[in-house]
Amino acid sequence: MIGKWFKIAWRNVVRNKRRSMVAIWTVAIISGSIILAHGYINFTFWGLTRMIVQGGTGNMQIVDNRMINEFETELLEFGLSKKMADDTVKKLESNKDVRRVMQRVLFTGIVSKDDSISTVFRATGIESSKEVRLQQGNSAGAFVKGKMFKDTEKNPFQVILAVDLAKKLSVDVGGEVVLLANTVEGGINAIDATVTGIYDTGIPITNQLALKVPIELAHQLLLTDKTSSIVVQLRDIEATRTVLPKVNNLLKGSVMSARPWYDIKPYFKAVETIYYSIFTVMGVIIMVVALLSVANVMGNTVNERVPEIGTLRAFGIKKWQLRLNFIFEGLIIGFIGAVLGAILGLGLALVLNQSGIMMPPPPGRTTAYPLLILPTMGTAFWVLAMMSVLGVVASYLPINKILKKKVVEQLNHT
Amino acid sequence: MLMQLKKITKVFGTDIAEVRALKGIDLEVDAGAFTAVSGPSGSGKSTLLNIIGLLDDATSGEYYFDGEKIDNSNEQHINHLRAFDLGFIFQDFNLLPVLTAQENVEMSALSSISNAQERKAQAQHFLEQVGLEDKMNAFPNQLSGGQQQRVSVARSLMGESKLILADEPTANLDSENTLKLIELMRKLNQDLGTAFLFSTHDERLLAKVNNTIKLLDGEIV
Repeated sequence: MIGKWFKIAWRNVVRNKRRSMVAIWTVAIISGSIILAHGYINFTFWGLTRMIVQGGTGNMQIVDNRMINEFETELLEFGLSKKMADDTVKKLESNKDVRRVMQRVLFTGIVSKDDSISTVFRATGIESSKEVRLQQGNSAGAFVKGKMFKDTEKNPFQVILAVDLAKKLSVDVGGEVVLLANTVEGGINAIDATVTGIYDTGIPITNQLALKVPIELAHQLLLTDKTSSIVVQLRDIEATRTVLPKVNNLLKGSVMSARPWYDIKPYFKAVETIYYSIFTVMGVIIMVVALLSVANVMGNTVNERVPEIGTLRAFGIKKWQLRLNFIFEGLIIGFIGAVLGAILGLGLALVLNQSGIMMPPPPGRTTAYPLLILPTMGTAFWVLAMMSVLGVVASYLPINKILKKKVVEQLNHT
Repeated sequence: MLMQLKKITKVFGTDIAEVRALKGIDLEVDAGAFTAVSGPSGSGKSTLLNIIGLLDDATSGEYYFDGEKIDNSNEQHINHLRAFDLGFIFQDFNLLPVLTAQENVEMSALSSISNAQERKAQAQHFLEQVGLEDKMNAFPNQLSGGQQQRVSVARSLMGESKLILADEPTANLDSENTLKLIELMRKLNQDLGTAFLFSTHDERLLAKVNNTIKLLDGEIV
């Protein structure tokens, strides 16, 4: 019997072609927009994740536990000893989830050129061969001039400068600078280094301060073999949450623990919350518009067929059967509209992804990025379900109202 | 006795705009009767038929069907009576445009005949009875007015209704189709023993009935 009501609903949808098409296209455009909007938000987080992870943070960083809740009062006070760091690197490198492990030393000091220009810097001592690979394919951290260090074991006296720092020092690739920093024992040390490259960090303020040196130079300058942190990059960039407990398990019993990238960069969570709040509010508004549009069409459909409803009631057809009939009509409109919308949204995403449109740099950044829409099948199914529910609600409201009338009123309705 | 009304009144509107459409109607219809309700426009014919067909409530009075008192607030019972015991023929035919003639006829027995095959067979039987065996798969817009009204008659018979109510059934038909419809209803009444109660102005129809109820200003005269 239910099949019979579905057949009648389908025939009525086809009978009122023009009106049905208006409702179907309204749902389709709204569904497509939701899929596109979510695809863009998805891309934003996809890009942000890569920018953070490949931009130098890695999937997680291993530090001394004290580093998490306390502040160092002395240079590398909570640094990891060479033995501890080397053993941990060895242990992690044998893990199948881990792509590479890098030690880093973080410090600050003063950089000068020809004793005439001096300015403060924030340095990272890196294992250059591994770091180059970490940042592959990431526009932030790209070289503007020159290249990464070479043969640092033979010649550690090399430096790469952030673009505005190089400008401030009026130094170019091949030029010499002096790096001055406090040692771990409280003294002051200075080392000459050759500029091998100039890079763009992607962040204006960091471009004025940042430089990178081989880790060997950092150890010589600071008179220590300690490491500030160990950066872990995973084979699967999205696997941080699943691998983190395994890494922490490996570190059990030591003074170290692993911190995921989203804890190291807490703004990610804040951005995520803001984006999804905006998306939810927008989504609700869009859904209300869709509901009103489809309800309007369904309202007209029901209104036009009130005498039919009365006739069926006169023959003892039950109210729930009539509700079902109109609910099927709403469902058909919602479902077909959502399927069309999904095709429309996914198709448009494909076109936009091929178009090579560049988006302006985000606030606080200096590099533009290509527009990408990453719609998911999950979103498409969600939209399909929501639009079907919406179709049901939009048809239930008007039919329920009409069914409250007496049969004679329904029959005489004009 | 199939149906009995006692002191039925119907008042539309309230206070100043009050219209008394029926003023204490007493009426009895026997099983197998062929009864007409006549009277000028506004005399209360349609209101009376709507109340007998359980499409509208009376303001006061008592209604008995098959010896059972009808309580209009019992929706389930009302629905059951509409589905099993009452049939309707409307002036405007009221066929569903998306259904074929056979589907329209079947539809009216959706609640009274649960077996689809039985429903289909009965629909085909009644369509044959009204002479539309070659139009079973035609949609209403492919049928003439007379043919549509015959589909409507077949529909009213489904579920073996005891009483068929027809409000001005010939009003939208030409002379030829009017005569055909009168003959058809009379034949079905005699062959099946189904009672017919209809409102009409048509003298040709009135000549065929064995009982006429004349209404004037909401009263039987």
